[in-house]
Amino acid sequence: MLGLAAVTLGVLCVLVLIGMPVVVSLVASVLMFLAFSGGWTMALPQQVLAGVGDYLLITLPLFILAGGIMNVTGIADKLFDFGAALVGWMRGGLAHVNVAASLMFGGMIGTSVADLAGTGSVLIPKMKSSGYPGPFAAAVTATSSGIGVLIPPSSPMILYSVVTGTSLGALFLAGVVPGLLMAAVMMITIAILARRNGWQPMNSFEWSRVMQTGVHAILPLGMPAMILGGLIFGIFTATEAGSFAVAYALALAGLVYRTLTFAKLRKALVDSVILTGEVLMVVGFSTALGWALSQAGVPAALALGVEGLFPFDSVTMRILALLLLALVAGMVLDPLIPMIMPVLLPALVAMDVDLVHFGVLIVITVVIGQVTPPVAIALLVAAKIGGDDIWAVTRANMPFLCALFVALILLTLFPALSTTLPGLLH
Amino acid sequence: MSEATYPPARASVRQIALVIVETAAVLLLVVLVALVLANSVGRYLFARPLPWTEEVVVALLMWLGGLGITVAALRNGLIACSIWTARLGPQAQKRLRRVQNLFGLATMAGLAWFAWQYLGTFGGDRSPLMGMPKAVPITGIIGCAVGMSLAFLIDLIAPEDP
Repeated sequence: MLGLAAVTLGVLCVLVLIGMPVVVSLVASVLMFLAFSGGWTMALPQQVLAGVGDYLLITLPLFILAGGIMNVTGIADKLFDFGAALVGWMRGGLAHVNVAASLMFGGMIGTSVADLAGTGSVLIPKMKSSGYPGPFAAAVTATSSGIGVLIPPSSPMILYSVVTGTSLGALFLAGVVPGLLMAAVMMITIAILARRNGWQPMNSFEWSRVMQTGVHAILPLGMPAMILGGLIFGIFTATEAGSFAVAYALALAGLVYRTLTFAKLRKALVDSVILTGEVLMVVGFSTALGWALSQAGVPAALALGVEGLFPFDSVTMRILALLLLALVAGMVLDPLIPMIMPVLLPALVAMDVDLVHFGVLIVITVVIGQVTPPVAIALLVAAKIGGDDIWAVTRANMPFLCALFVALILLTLFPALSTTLPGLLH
Repeated sequence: MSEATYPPARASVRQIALVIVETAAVLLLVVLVALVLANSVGRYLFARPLPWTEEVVVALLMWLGGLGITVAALRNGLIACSIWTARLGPQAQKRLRRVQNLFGLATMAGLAWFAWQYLGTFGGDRSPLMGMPKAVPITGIIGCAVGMSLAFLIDLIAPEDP
């Protein structure tokens, strides 16, 4: 059966690499497994229903819709101005602003590609017109968009919570410090590059400007603050937080800023429906694939394999081995979490790994996968927005990729960076 | 290949299908958001949560997924890796796309067949609170397979650039 599982995964990878839609590739590989294993054929719809039948999954369209409303109504611009006032005075100011904007904007929208589409179309042309090389502008925008998925709300964390049964509140809290750490390592990288290339600050630092723009950014920043506060103090559940986030975004765009029109609302709804539809179906079919692989004994073999490779009793080394496996998969498969977690979960449980800690690490691995060839979806989108060559963008991204690996290793070696805040929940 | 290459009737099939599916999906999302919000507000303002809304939401999530992915397919926006295929020449890309659409159709037919069998066996099971039949989410899988098949078929008849 392990041989059949290997062939199934091989077929999946080949189908994905020849450009077949991920959903079709997943269904085809599960069908192939069922045909050759002689398994119960109705397991496919049964597992799909089990995967999509989790009430927590409704948080996904809720947060995407809330962020979409903020995006299409131009509320994000206020965050950009605040970011410029806060960090624009440093060397390479606009690149720093790019990171700060992703930190704040991603905290509302929860998906990195949506953040990229939102901030990239403004920031990449702006950076190019300010004299930054195009590939660098695309690279910094693509990588910084990954910061947002660590700051609540976060779509990958919602998926991880659904697949593993880990508390979503704990995961949201666990992502805050790693998100800030990731922003810090990126800004250090930018500072080094700015000094080397002579990039100038964007503006001078003025307290009055920080205060003025900060006042305008308070209400948009209220959304992540409300979600975090509500979860820390046990005021509401993650699902309720999602519904209040939609209500908050509607009130802000419709009543406070009065920028919400029917056309903009429809666009936000359609974008949300498309993204939700794709992710929900990938979750469903990945659950079926995970079931097929567990029928073949893959998780047990994986746990044994990792223990065989690292016979000494070091959970950290085993976590790193599993992350490496996830990283290789993440270079090809997107979205990664629903596809790989059903396979990794039994091994993690057997090794007694803290699932909240691993949740943060796997989300960073997703971010790394999104900027690593051959697929590198974030780099592709950024290169498309900027009109730059994908290989030039990939080369320009190398320093940031190294920075991401540094953050991943730090977070693996020091679990307290992720697990201290969720401890407040107890 | 552009839309203008094909007779308007063929090209407009995609447009009509898109409007219908998109509207249905958006309406469904609005209903789901309203149900979750009503449940939350009921719990906070009136100390009366509406537990039945959770059953309805879970049952309809499958339909939201099916309709959403159909919209994505009709817009040629399904998640796919194009890093190798983008390097092919226009003719090879055209041929590959035809193969992809045919393969997609066959795969979705297999999915629909198994979901149909599952519907016959378990469709009558009911949820604990509202007694909602399991047929509701199961037909969502069939809806997904039919919707995506329709999108692949339309793309075979009148291909359109993403």
